[in-house]
Amino acid sequence: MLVIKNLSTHFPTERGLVKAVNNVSLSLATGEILGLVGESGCGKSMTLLSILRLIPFPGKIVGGEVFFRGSNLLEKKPAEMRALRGQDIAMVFQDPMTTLNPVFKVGEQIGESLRIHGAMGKESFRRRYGDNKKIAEKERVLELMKEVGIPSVDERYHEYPHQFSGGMQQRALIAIALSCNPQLLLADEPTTALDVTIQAQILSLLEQINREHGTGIILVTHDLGVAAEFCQRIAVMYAGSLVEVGPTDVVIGEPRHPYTIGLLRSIPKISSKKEKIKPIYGNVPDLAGLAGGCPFAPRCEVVKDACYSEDIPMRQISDDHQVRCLNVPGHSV
Amino acid sequence: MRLARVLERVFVAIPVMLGVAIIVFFFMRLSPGDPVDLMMGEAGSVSPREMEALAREFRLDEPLHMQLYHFLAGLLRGDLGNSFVKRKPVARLVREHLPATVELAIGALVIALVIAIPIGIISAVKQHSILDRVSMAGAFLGISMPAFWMGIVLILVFSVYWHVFPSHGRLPFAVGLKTITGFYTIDSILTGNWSALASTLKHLFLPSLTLGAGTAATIARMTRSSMLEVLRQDYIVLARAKGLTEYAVVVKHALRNALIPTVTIVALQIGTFLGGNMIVETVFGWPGLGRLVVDAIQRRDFPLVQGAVIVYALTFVMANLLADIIYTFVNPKIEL
Amino acid sequence: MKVNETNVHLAQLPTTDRSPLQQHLYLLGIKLRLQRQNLGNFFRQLKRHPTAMVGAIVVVLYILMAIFAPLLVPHDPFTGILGNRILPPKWYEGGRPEYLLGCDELGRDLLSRIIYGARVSISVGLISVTVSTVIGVTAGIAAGYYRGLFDEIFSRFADLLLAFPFLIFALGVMVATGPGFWNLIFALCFKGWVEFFRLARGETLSEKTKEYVEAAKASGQGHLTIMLSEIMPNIIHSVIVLGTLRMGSLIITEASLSFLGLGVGTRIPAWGSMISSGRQYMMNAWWISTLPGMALLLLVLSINLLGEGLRDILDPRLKID
Repeated sequence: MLVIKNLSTHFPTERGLVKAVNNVSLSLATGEILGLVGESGCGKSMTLLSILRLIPFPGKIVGGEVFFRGSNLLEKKPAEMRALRGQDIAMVFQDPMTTLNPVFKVGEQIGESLRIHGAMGKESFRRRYGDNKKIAEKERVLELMKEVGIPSVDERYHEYPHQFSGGMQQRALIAIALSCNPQLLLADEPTTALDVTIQAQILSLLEQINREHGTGIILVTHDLGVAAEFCQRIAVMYAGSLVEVGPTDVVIGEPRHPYTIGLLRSIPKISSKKEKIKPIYGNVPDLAGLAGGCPFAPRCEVVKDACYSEDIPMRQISDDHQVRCLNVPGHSV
Repeated sequence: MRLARVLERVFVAIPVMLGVAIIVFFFMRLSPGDPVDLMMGEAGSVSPREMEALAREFRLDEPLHMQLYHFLAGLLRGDLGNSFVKRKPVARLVREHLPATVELAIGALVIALVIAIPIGIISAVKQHSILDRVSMAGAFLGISMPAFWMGIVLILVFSVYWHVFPSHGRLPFAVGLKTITGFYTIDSILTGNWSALASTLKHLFLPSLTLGAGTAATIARMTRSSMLEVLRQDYIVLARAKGLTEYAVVVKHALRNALIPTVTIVALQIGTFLGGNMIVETVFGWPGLGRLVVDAIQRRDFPLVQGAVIVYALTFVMANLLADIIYTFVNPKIEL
Repeated sequence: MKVNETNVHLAQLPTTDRSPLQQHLYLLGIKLRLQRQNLGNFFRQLKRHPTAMVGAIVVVLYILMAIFAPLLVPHDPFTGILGNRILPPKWYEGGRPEYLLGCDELGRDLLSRIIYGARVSISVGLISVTVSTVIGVTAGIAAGYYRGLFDEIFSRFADLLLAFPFLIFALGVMVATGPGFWNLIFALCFKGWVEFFRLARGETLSEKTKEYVEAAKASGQGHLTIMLSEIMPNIIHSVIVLGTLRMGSLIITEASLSFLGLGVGTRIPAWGSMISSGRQYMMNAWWISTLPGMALLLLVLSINLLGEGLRDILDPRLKID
């Protein structure tokens, strides 16, 4: 359904060019959940925003293709792009507190996407909610609010965002995203700002949506544990580039890229036996000053001289497992 | 509860108004020299008996706290005392001159808003563009510009050299407008006197522009900076991700938020108008409250100055109160 | 350099071995050193703000002009020559080369009077800002630090004064006291301190809760020392910015009062009163009121440029309008 080929998004900054998304290739099948994992600032969110073509100034998509249902989004006219946003491709953001507009009622905000895309005029919606657009819209919004688990929807409909708790705000945001039955949901760290128990609720809500509507989801997270639990495939991103892509059990069970291995080792495990956590030493590199070669090389335990000099290609090591590392044999993609 | 907050604000404003009245009273008593002596200077020689009568009339023979008591009691009844010079109740003089001043203030506000808000929005949306730079430079000039000097330059350019706008007054006597409300724009519409309306608006333009310029500059800067702030917010990205047009994003989602501080500032600018109108009315010979005060100052008509200063200060307190109340209503987050 | 050496020396002493005076010097020394670093930084940053730099230069030129006015003026600014009444500027028809900007309605050299006018504006601006700052900051820090009745009284009084528009208040005071230099200063400062008070009080309230103040208290420093050497250096940046920006508006207020005939008095040339008296001659001698206004505008503009630059450099979060 979604095929990204060699997508690059760059930010010219005072300190130099930041390649926030560097030659990223990814694909998502219909109804699939893909986890995009990496540390903060590695370009995960920018990948999502690039798909929607909502890169903030001064960033720019400089190359690549993004095929959605067969047509390249990067070649679409602005109006065509707007028609897709919120209708076919919807996004859930990281911080619900700041993502809802504080001056509009929540119900109003959930209904807005329906209105812009004229959803209530469509045959499928008309059959279900009736011909009176106003009543139909409210009906639909209340149904959405119920679906995402907002209690006492009749009152909540008329409340402002600040009257909602963080978890409820995130539910409202998910309701906004779901309103037009999108085929693709881009979830940008939807649980990071929430408490652990709420996190689990939101994730299972997303899973339920995926199950019931067949919505494809790209879940961006910095938490490999969440991705492992929830996604069918995982893509690991480091400093703007993908370093490993594969099915969840392969990436978690037999990780091949040193960064993925390091990430897995640095997750504390809950068990009675005290295992030592092994951190990855060093820091996330400054994307502005990135030279050629493997960006992970300075922190890598198995680094070779060649790692610094050449650009390392993505290599296919089995049918559905790709790794970008010189130490891993395989053939170039 | 909004109502509770509004009531609370009103109750806070009451002692402030009282304090304002007391401060004004004491300052006016601070002045060197006996007001009666001062008046004698105005009126020429006065006999001791007349002087005594005058002193009694203005209660100058009573102890200070009694004077204060009568002053405050009068204030409650809407009695601001009598003018030394004009021999008329101050309240009546104020009432007579108020429409001209209010009309000018409204003109200034309209001009300020019409110029400032679009400029503020466009400058923010097109940040760093030439238009942004030029208008922000203009706004900077605007906040540094002394109003009286600007008025004089406008008169020189538009009245003395180009003869496009009149330099003085509200309306030539010859137009013969029948006054009903005292607002010449309204009166000329009510009486269907269109030439008077045209002339009124022409007379209104330069003073309004002068009075509104500083405010326009402030509001434009304010709107721009709060718009820039808002455009950086996550909910703007969401609005775009919903598929809204850029126009709808700016006008619906951003502007509503950006105008919250602006609305408050606009109400507070009423204070600037009050301060500025003395200057502008003097420059343009505008027969309003400001002109009345300046005249009273020159003729050392203390009760009139005192009364007018109180009216100004109380209006300012009310404007602040209004700003507070408006803020309560435009910002849904206030729900205490 | 010397301060630094002393510091190193004192710093090497274990804390317990320092006398109270040494401890104080040590702390003060650190402050000095920090401030010096900041100052170096500051000038480097100022260079990157060309507009602020220009503003600063013009303001300095104005101050020099005010100080050396008697040496600079080409003619006597106080006495006019009847034959020179409304003499146009030099480049105009009928202008005379020795009177660069022409003469006013009493035949006095306009340039000389404008130069002298800078004295009033600059001195009123500087003195009233300084007095307002000293009063406002002192009261503000004390109110924020001690709270209680002192704070209550000052805050209520400040609220009351805020209920007046500035010009109206100053005008009322001038009417009561009559024209004159010190009366003018009094009128401007009577309300001018309030903003500094509110700034200093607010900042003190937030600084008070920070760790370094707690640490100073724990080390047994007196209240006065804490206020002066702990809190003060941390709020001084905001105060400087506010002071600069307010100086521009105080100068405009002074000129407005002079314009209304309530300034320093008629005998001293002030821009406001020059603009006012030139108004009657607008039809045939535009320069009499326009040129002093230009001098005023340039000064206020430069002060504001400097102030905004200072805000960007010293205290970007400060919002004043």
